[in-house]
Amino acid sequence: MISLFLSGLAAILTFKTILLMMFGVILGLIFGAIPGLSASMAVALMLPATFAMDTVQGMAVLIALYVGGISGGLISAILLRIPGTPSSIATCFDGYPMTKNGMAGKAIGTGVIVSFIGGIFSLIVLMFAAPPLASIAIKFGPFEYFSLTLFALTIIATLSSGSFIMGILSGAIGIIVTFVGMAPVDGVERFTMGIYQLKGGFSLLPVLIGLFALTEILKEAEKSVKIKMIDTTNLKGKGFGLTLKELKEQWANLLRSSIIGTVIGILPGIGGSTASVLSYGEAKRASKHPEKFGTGIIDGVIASEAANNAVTGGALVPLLTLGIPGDSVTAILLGGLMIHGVQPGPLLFKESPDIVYGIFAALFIANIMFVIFEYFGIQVFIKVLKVPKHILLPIVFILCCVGAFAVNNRMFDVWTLIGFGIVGFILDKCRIQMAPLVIGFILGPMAETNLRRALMLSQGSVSPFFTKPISLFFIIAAVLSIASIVNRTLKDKKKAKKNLTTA
Amino acid sequence: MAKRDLQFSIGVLLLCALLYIGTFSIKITKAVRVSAAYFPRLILAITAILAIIYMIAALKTLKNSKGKEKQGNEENEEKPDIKRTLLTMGMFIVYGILVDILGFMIASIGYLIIQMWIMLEVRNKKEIIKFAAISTISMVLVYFIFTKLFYVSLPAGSLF
Repeated sequence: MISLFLSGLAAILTFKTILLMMFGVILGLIFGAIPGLSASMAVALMLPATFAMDTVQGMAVLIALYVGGISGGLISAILLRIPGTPSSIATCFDGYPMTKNGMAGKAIGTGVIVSFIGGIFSLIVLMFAAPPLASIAIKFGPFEYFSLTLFALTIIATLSSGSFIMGILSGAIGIIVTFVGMAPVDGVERFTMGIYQLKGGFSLLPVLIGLFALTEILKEAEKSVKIKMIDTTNLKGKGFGLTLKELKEQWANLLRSSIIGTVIGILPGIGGSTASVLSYGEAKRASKHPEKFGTGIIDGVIASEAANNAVTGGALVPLLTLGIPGDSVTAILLGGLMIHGVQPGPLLFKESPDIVYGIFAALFIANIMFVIFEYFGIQVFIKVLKVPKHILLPIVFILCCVGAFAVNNRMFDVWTLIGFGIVGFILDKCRIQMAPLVIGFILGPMAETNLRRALMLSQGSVSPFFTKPISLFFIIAAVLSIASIVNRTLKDKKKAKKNLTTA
Repeated sequence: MAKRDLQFSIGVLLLCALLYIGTFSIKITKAVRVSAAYFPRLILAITAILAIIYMIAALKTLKNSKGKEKQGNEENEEKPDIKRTLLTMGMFIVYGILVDILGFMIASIGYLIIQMWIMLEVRNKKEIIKFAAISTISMVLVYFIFTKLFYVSLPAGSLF
């Protein structure tokens, strides 16, 4: 494995790739730092730029954007109390109070260094977990795959924020969108309404960019944009802000947060924001002084930032081994891989280890790059935060259109983008969640293909889903995850009722 | 909020019904045992059930909140700027139409100037010159970076 990793590293370490990755990390950091522009947007917008590159180079740039985007969020979370990207949401809780206490430099330095540790931790997990997982997954047939997608869909719905019914409903709506176009297995046309461009269904990228980027622009248009002043004093700290003594004190927190982030990353469809909040909560619970959380202590910053960067490596595990994205950014990476003619899944490890290990190596390099740029370039990123939104967002819209058009060189995809942007905004108003919807959209065809294949194999009988051990395992896991959430909801309701009667 | 939930669930139910009727026009090939209409019907049925559960929950909340204090927490939040949102949506569509006629460069520069003006908080006519300069420079940059550096083609209009 080490030799494969080294050859991956050698493939990345060319002048052009490194230069492109540097550009990617910096752009990612900028997108991450500016509230309203997110890591998923950065990856989606730069995707067309990778079309002319070879696969490893293109993926390296996208990974650089991903890591940069997730890492940049802490800047505005700490300085402005606005998460620059949703995954930094819990960084605000203690990061901003630290700024108010005159410790902004320490908060940022600590955030950067623990982000790095979280990221590298998850990379190690990815490198050791993915190959054996792929060798198991290669034995999966349609029964196992269908049960797996079922499990993936339930887990997103149960773990995503908001109500559980809404989570499943969001996923189901995502699946319904995939009905348009030719059906898998037999290629029968469905719901195309006579529009020939719809024969191939909605393209993945315009839908994703529309739902993530355009919806976000509309949400920003709805707010009145006010520019907050940034206090740039106290930005200089000694070293990385985190002393060795503190690091020793915090190692348990750091390890726990990294594990939470990695696991959340591996579970399909739930991304950095869940990891950040969950890890913060766990750190508070395990702490000897939970009352200090929220007043500006490094524990909170460490928990949130280590966890959200640990998501990056974790999210690549299901993407590379099963073709199931671990979060919204990896959903776009999936689209990128497919445009390059690569189908992620267990076969990838066998057929193109160069791509797999190239991605691992890119993740490693990107993690080193962001530390250097974010720490030493902090003043530049703060300046970028001052660029007014009314100038930035329209330009982002144009870039979205360029990206959508470039997929197939047709205006139809631009219309798909605009349509899904507007629909996404309306659905968001109805409290539909984008992450489950997108995962439903991606997993829908996978679920359908495997279900129909399985039923054809078994002559219409559903019993093999329960007699094949791996399939049964996923079905039990799906049922358990639903049962746990129903149980929790009922308990919450009882509690609420009790509170109501006592009040 | 509960009122919107109710409207939403009714909307989803209607959509499911409409699409379910649509599944009957899907061609059934004899070659496969499980037809192309099977999975859509299954998912539509599940979605409809979920929508009904959601509707019942919304109705319950609506019933409980009746007669009680009317003002919710929503008042505390900043009021959304509906006019600007609708204008922005409209601009998206206008841009889509104009790109096809005027080509990428002219349509984009025009769009940017107007959209920046729409999004501007405090209007000042001097800003338009600034917007025009920023739009032109950024679009020329985008044009060269994408077409010359990354070999990505941009939409061409029927006029230019």
